[in-house]
Amino acid sequence: MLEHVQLPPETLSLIFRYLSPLDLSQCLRVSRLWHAEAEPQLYRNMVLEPGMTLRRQVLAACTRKHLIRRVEFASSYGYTIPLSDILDFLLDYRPPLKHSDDAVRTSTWTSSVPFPIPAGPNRPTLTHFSHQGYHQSWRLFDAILHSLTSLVSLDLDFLHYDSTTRTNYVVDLDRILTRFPRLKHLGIIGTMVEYAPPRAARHEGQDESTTGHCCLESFTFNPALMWREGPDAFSLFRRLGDLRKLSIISNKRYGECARRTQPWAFGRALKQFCSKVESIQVEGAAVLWLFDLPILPYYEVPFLAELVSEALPSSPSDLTVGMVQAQRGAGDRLRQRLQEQEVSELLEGRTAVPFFPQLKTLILGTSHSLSMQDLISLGVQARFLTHVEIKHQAYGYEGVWDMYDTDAATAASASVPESTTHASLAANNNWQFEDRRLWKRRHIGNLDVILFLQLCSSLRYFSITRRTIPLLDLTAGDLTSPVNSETSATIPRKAMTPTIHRWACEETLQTLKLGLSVHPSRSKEYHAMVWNHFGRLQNLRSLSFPMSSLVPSPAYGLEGLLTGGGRLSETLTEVRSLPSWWEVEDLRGMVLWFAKSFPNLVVLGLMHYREQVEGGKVENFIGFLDDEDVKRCSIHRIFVEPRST
Amino acid sequence: MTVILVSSDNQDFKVDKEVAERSILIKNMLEDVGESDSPIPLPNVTSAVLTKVIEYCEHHRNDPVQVPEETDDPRKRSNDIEEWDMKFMQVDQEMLFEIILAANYLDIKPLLDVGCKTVANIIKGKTPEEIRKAFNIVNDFTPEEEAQIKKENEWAEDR
Repeated sequence: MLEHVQLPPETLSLIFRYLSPLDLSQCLRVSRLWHAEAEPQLYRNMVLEPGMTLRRQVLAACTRKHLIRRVEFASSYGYTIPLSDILDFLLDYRPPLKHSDDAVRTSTWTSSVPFPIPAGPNRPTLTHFSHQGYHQSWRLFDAILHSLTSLVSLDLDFLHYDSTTRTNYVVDLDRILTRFPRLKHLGIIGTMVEYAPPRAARHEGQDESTTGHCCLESFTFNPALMWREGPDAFSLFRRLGDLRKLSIISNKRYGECARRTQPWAFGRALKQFCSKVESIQVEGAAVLWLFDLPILPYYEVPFLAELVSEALPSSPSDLTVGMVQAQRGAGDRLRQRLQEQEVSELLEGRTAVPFFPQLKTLILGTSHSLSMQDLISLGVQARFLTHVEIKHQAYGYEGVWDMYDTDAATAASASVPESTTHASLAANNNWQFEDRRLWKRRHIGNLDVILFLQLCSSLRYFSITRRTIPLLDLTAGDLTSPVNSETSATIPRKAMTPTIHRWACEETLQTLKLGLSVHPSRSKEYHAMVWNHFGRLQNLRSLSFPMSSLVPSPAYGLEGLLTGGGRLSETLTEVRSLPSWWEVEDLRGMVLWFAKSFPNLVVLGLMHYREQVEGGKVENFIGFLDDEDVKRCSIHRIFVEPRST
Repeated sequence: MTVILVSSDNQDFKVDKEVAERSILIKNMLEDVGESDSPIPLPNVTSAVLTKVIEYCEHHRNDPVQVPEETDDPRKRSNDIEEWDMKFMQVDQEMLFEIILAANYLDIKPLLDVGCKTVANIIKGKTPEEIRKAFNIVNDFTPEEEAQIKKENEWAEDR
């Protein structure tokens, strides 16, 4: 008999990590050896979901508590496990016999529950606990939670199902951090969460429970945490010097956030205490500010002061029509110069005190509030950024932008020189200067996003969605060199030969998702310029065009694109979101062009827009896929992807 | 700079240091020994397997050193295998197992992961009998034992 290589048990357990509970349940029955390796894997992760088998799962798990490490638990109406089973399962605890199971079931017993609940000798050593739902008794929930002291990861998402019993869960972060000394990840979000005021404010003096260092590396919270008030509002972050990952998941509205939040104090606490942060993610409405660089008031920049006096005559009352027009021109010029000066000051922030120097990942979801100043500061200072994802969407709530940094020493103390200039400035209602003096934030423009591509030399993943960048912006400024105050304002953009400036990430970028529009009326050279620029990317594997009009079509002419050499034809394996907004009459021809131009292309995603499809039928849209030439082409997988961002 | 690796059947393999250092075992050895031209014996790896392993390391020589994101959440763990790696792993089962053993011994985590994922993909969707057949495993349970295991763990079958 042939000697057959058998996998040693330790590799079996590695393989089983990739299997679902269903597949693991099959492996259990293969042989005794497989059973021994598969059983710990199956019971290691307990996902308790409403369903017919939930009770049986809990009962089976109760006899194997020593194997359980991770519990994921979603409670909802309709399917519940008896409380006594939960207590047994999580804590190896049975309530005293005098309490009938009915009483336990209906939670009348909860008022007498010990806190924390004394766990039994066979309790599982839980490292991960995640819970989604709502509780009739927060006290009982707290008693259970605070008995799980071995946790390394804790995720709570409190939603309410029943509007009649709306009491929020009040999170005491200081207590949690002290109670779970091994905690590396903490996530507390949901509509039913509020945060207890900081400890130091409630008790005189500080004790170990509010100052001890924590090993927390990942923290997810909702913006209600940023509503804390007082000098100790964010002293919590003092304990979080090891924080690597910060996620703010919001279900609030901007109106609510802007009214109550202190973004400047929060941002400063983060920068002061959590310098090891590697990842920042914001989803939903949350007022987060990070920029804190010295933007000079206009009167400290001599040429701006000159322009101001030029733009604004001393007495606005006796202006002639001609003077008003002249003044308007000067005002526009001044506005542009102010913005350029601000960008160059921010770019010079390279020499400012760095914050988050180890930042690698930046994910800004829908309706984030980061401003152009925040983005430039981050782009300039985070040399190791590898992953940038921005859902670039304008949102309506202006209150966020009308907030001033009232804490900033310079903003508060800087006095504008008493001069007629200031009076006329106000009279002309020109707030540009005031905004600048008070460090008001500005909306993100396309250039502020392109900056990451030009500055970050480690970037591997870059995605900007929900926004289309016009070619003009892609070819505009070269942000890597300081703004040249002598030339940039005097040469109108149109007169410049369009070139796309070098990207710092040309060697590292692997995934690019970019809404990009080249107007159809542009000559083919413009399209070729973009493709040739992509050709400069040495390692690009995936290219996606949401909301773009760039993709070539045979009717438009394909020859001559992609002549710039480069390695793109070798490295590209995936193209997505075609044909986007481009009007392509011959999809078959387009697909074949991609197959021919990129021989290693494996995946091609076609995005289906209803208005592009006659009679609303997807079949019409993808009918050409049955074509023999298309079937034979090198692309393995051509599919219609759902329209998404 | 190159290093010489010697397989169990005494064949020499000359490879770039950068390629060899994809193996943490070899990397640590080189660091311990310091500058040295002496060949590194790998008594647990045959020349056929070592050829494959070197092919993998050559292809991935420029990959950034992945800080392995040790996620304990099985659903976040992806079974996706890169196109090249998938083709690379299209070998007979004996070679597949040998590669996994070698990756384990040489401590090349990405290769070990790809190997494990490949085996996991073979297991997926199969019944116990089909798994035994696929891997030539003898069933050492009595029918009663097997029925008992099935009954106890039935909850997992609709997951």
